[in-house]
Amino acid sequence: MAKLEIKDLVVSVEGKIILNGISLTVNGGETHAIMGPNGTGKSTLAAIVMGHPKYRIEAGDILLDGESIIPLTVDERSRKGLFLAMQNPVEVPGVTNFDFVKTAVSARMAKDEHLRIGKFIFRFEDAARALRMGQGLSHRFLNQGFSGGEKKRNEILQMSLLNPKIAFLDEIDSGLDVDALKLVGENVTRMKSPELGLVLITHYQRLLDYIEPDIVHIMIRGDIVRTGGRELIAKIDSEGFDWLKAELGIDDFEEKPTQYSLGSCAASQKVAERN
Amino acid sequence: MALPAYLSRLRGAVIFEERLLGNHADLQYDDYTVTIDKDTAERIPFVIAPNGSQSLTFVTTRGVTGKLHLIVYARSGIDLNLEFRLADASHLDIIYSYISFHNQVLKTRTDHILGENSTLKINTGIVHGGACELDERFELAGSGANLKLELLDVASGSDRATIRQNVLHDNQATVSQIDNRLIAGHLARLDYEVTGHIAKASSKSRCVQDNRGLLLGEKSVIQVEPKLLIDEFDVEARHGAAIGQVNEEEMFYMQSRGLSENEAKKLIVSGYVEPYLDKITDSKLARVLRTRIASKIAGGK
Repeated sequence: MAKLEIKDLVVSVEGKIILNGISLTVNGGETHAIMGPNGTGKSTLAAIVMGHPKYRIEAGDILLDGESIIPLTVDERSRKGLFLAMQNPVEVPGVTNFDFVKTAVSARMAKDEHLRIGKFIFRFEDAARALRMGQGLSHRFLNQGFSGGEKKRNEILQMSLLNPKIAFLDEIDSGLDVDALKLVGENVTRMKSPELGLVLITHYQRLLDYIEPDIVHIMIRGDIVRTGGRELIAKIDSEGFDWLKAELGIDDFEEKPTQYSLGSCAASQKVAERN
Repeated sequence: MALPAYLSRLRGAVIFEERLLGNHADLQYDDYTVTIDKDTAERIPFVIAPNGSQSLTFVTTRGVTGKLHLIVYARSGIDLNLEFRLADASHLDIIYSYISFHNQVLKTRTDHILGENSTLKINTGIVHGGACELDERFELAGSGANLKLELLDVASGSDRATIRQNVLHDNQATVSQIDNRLIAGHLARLDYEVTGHIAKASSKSRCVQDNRGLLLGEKSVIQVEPKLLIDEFDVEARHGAAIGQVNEEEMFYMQSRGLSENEAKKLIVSGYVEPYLDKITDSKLARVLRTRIASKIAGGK
């Protein structure tokens, strides 16, 4: 059974700490939900586990099946069984969806193994049909011209074909209408197994109506501040996060953004005075 | 000039060197002018392999639909003038393959004049060695004329390209769309000047240019100057140029699916190249072009 352990992780970007000693353990078969206000580091957590080069690990460790993955490259982590369904999947013009997924599936195979294309086409088509992605998906360029909902369903399609051990779904509900959300929820729920650990990052209860979590975490200011069961979801849905901030004595203040001017010298001076 | 077998044996090809040598497509030809006066069911391969300077004119008659694959083959330096005159309501679909070799200068000037409600669709592939100077002009003379141009340029090493694309919208409701995809390997330099001009009295026209450039080496250069000259109200025009090394977010996305850095780069490059190669129906020619492109991308001459 897979096991992901995040231990006392401190992460910075451009010198600013954004994950502040966070710890989390996800076992195969478990479904975790991470909720929290905007800008608390939920997506950063997913990206750093996947190995995004933008972030710097200051302290702590990330272990997959007992082995640190910090020295591994992004693709090595993926081939070890990590998956990230992204909030904003990138568009890659000229690369067809099918070629991309085929290359990704081939990349996970042993050197002496070969992908049996005929069989794989059926698997691809079945997965696309289950997500009601429509005909012609395989020939469309990767995420190019896809609606927001199509992009999210395409992430789930890739996940279903790549068979990860631990999958982070980062705001997979954004851009989905009610029907699409239900469909994605059903597809992800079907994938649940003792071999798959799921981490759902979301702001809203609605996703969690379709993919039931076992454990719910609330993240504020780069750390998990409360862990519980489904009762937390209902409380957040009705009362937001202010009750918890008050309970924990967290001051809610808006950081003053630095203003930049591209205008005249006079405008630059005015901004400098304001700052 | 001895043509390689993959060109001289192209099925149904027209071969032109200093004069017309083979005309298996039975195109009407007279005094350096080719007339397309009937619909072509299949794309006609037209190999142009001049020695030195040469001029050729292509004319379509009213209402006709033609498909050509023009293969400009330059073993030595050439200076080529091509003129296309599209009659009203005619449609021409051209694939260009410019193939040249190391240290040669491939100089080509093309003029395209489009009549009323005519359409011109062009897919250009430049797989050059040495220098390529291409001066392309498109005059959308008749109302409702429509131009769609896609271009792929792959260069490496000492390859240089100086390309000028000029589109003149000279009538109402004319449409042009240019999509340039440029790849420069180590030390190569590609200079593009892309100009769209909507002249007075050309209202309801639309002029769009998109330029994407991929720098594969630290010392490769792609310079694109997109220009729009608009002399009329009630028109739509936009241009864009995105040039850089492989995008970090694209790389992260692809690697997060298990592709190594090399595999991801290859796939991103194939995204530039394959849309062009997919249109080449002759498998031998497609294989030759694919091999040359792969060698360019790998840093070959």
